[in-house]
Amino acid sequence: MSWLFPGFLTALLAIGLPLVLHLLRKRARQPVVFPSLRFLAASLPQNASRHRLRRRIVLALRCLALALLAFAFARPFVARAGRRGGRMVVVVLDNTFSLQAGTRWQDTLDWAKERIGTLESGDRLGVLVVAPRPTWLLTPSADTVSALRALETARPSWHSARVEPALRLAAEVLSAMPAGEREIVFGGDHQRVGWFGTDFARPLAAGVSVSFADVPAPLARQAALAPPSLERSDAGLRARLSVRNFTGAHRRRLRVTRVGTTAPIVELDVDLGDRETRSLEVELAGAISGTAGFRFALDADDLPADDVAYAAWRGAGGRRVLLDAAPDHGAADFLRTALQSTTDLKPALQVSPVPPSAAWPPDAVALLRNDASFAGDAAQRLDAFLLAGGSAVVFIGGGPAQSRWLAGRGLAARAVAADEHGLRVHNWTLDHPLVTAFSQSTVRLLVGWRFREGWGLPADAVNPLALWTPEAVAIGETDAGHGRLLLCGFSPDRRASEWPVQGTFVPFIHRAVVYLFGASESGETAAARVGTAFSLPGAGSWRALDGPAAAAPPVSVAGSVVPDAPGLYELTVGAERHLFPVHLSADESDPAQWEPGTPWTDLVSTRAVAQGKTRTVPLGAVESEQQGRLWWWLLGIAALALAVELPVANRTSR
Amino acid sequence: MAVTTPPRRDVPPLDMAELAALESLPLRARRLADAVGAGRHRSRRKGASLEFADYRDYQPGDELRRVDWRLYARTDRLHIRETHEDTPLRVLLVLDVSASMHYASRPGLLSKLDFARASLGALALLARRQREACGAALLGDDILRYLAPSASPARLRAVWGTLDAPDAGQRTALAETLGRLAEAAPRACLFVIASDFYEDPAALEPAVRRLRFERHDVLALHVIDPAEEDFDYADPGLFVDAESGERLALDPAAAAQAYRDAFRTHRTALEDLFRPNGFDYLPLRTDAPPLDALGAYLARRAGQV
Repeated sequence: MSWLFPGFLTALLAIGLPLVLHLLRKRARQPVVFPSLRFLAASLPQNASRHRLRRRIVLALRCLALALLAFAFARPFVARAGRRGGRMVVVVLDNTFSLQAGTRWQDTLDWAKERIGTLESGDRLGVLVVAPRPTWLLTPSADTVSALRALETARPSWHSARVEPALRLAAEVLSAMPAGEREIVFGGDHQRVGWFGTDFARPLAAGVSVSFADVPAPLARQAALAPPSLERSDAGLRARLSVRNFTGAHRRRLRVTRVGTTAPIVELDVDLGDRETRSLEVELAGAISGTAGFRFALDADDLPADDVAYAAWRGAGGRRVLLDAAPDHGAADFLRTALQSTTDLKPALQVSPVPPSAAWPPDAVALLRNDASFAGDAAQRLDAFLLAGGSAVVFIGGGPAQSRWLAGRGLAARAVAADEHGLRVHNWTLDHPLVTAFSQSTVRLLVGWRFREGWGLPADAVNPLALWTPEAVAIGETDAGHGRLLLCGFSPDRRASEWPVQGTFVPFIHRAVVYLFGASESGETAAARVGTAFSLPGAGSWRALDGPAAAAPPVSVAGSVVPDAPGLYELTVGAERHLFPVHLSADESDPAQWEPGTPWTDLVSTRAVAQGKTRTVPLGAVESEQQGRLWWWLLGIAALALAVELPVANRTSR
Repeated sequence: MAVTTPPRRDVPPLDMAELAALESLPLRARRLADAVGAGRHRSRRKGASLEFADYRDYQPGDELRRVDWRLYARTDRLHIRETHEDTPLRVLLVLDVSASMHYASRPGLLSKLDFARASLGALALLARRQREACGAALLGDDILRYLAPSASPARLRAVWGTLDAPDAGQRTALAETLGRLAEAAPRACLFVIASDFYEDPAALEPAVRRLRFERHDVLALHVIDPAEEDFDYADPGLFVDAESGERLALDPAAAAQAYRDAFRTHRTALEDLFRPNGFDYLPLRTDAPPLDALGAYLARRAGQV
């Protein structure tokens, strides 16, 4: 018999209360003078014995009821056969992709299974993996068969992760469960990057022992390809990439193929010096037209996961920018001038006027500042453009048609009162991709944005990039149809400020357009990283063209994705096709192990565990208890005992 | 003699707290007597007084002076004129002063002895007001005091003095002492016995039969403390017999029902002892005024007229 809340068993002490009362009552001997005992003495023997019996029955029933209540509140249950709950083990597996090296993963599993081989029936076992974040494959339970199956079917991921969070999670869970022995079995390669940042001075929860796998033998050959970059060259495309060697000098062979084909475009040997990082430039001869993906692969070493990298080229001819007519103020069109000056910037933009009567191509980005663009047929074409997936930068000038169009989307802009110093754009959202890219060289680009007039957007209707005031957004972003709107609460002309003639104007316009295209600054497609979310230019079908996930079926995505494996991925948005190379974390490729010593052994607490403080309810016990529901029976019997006790007690109190 | 009833005065209702607050027996007796408000009653016996009662035929041996010669002149037959006997009723107030009579179950309540004294004292006053002979006897394990009935005006004080005497017996020997008292008392007395009757009714039976044989009348006042009848003790304790000193560790809750049954049986046995012999048996609780006892006395007295 086991107890879910054994603390309630202390209530058994309450049985002493009726016992004490019973004994005290019996021992009362106050002299009472009575005229004659003749009628008392005659009836005493028979009644006294009967009464004594009744009193003892009452006493027994009261004690029984109290004991049953205590037992019921302690929630008894019958542990499954053989279960002693004495040992609880959590296997923590370092499943980062560095474990793909050689036989490390299988060695780790074998070692872990050997450690837990001494588990007996009734012991509990859980499996926790560290990447991409501490995740239970199976929470600790007595179902060791399932736990072993989970262990055997586990595979190393393509992620990189730190070990410490998983260890601390496992220790906390173990310490919160009652068990005779609590043990963590940690299987990993003790890679330096895995232990990086670990506070070895802060031990794990008390009472938890840890078995650490031995440090594996170093890898003989390990080199990793860094994500390549592409640029146009005279011969076609030029790929820049680097190969980082983490081991001794050795020769590797690099093969570059176009994804979808098997014949290599380039094949060359690379001699890597001892722990050398070699930068390579590879000419990908031949005309490259349209979108293309390339696979860069080294011949396999001890850790083949990082021997393959991808790059994608989408060409430079697809970036159309639609610019509406400037308002007729008789002033210079700074916006057109700015766009024309971006030809030296990458990627290049093709600027064309907004089609006056035809539908706007949805793969373009529109820059709109004229109030006429929001009125009549133009407004309908704008709505259709956005609905089809087009994006636009809207400069708010306070025109009536523009105001109505914005108000119809819950984006009513209100004029912001300016003081003698004008209006200042501040509070930039520094982690926004546009702001990050714009201020990449220097954050000074974000200061000095002053305007004589401005319009504030509602803070709850847009994703703010910068503010006028806490309530008025100066630059904001929002979805519109299947596209996106970047709303600027100011005009790109000198009526409003000196901004068009400042150095931030052209870069901002270029970055804003590129951001809305969802592309990098060159003709190659922006790369993503495993485990990291990145924005998509639209909603569509997402699939891997090459890499570990190539066999997975396409999935529908929108907004952003978090890839779990490297490779070349394709996003199909309508008739448009985008390619995205996804790379591994570069840190994880370094097989260097922690030096010096094995400080992780300091994580094991030497402090004795205080059972009372760590007492919580084990999940398995709750399940067993809920299957039995013995406490209902105990409560019922207690109620029955009290029901019997009541009339008997009444007879004894006459 | 005509039955006379003194003018009824406005007497406030009697309660036992008031009675207990009165310190002396005469005061208690008068309060009780006033509460019952009785007048004089005649004797039921026929004797040689002036008041005509009846005629009967002459019998040889009758005194010739009792022949009604005027009626003989008219009827030519000898008749004896009978008159009411004007001899006073002899009331003998018998008080059990055994130790058990000193019991009072709670403060503010008269002990059984004081209750009996007040009741008998009031009867003595009533008897005196009716110019009847009154005497008193104190019974313990023997006849402790005896004052023969007398119609003397000074007898009332003597009776009160006897009833209020500090003598207290220890044990009850009611059957034996009552038998001896029947020998000592003049014939045809009204025995008013105030006792808690902790005596075996079977043992009392010879004495009661003797009283009947001696032409005595008996009014048995069974003085009962409420606790004796209700037995509502809650806490266990060591019960001590007031007369014998015997001790008994007892849980009253355990014995209550059996005790009540036994006490009720005892009362029934006493009633069955007295009533078949033409006597009255009256249980009196000390938490209620003994007006029933006085009323019974008066009824008894009236029945003798």
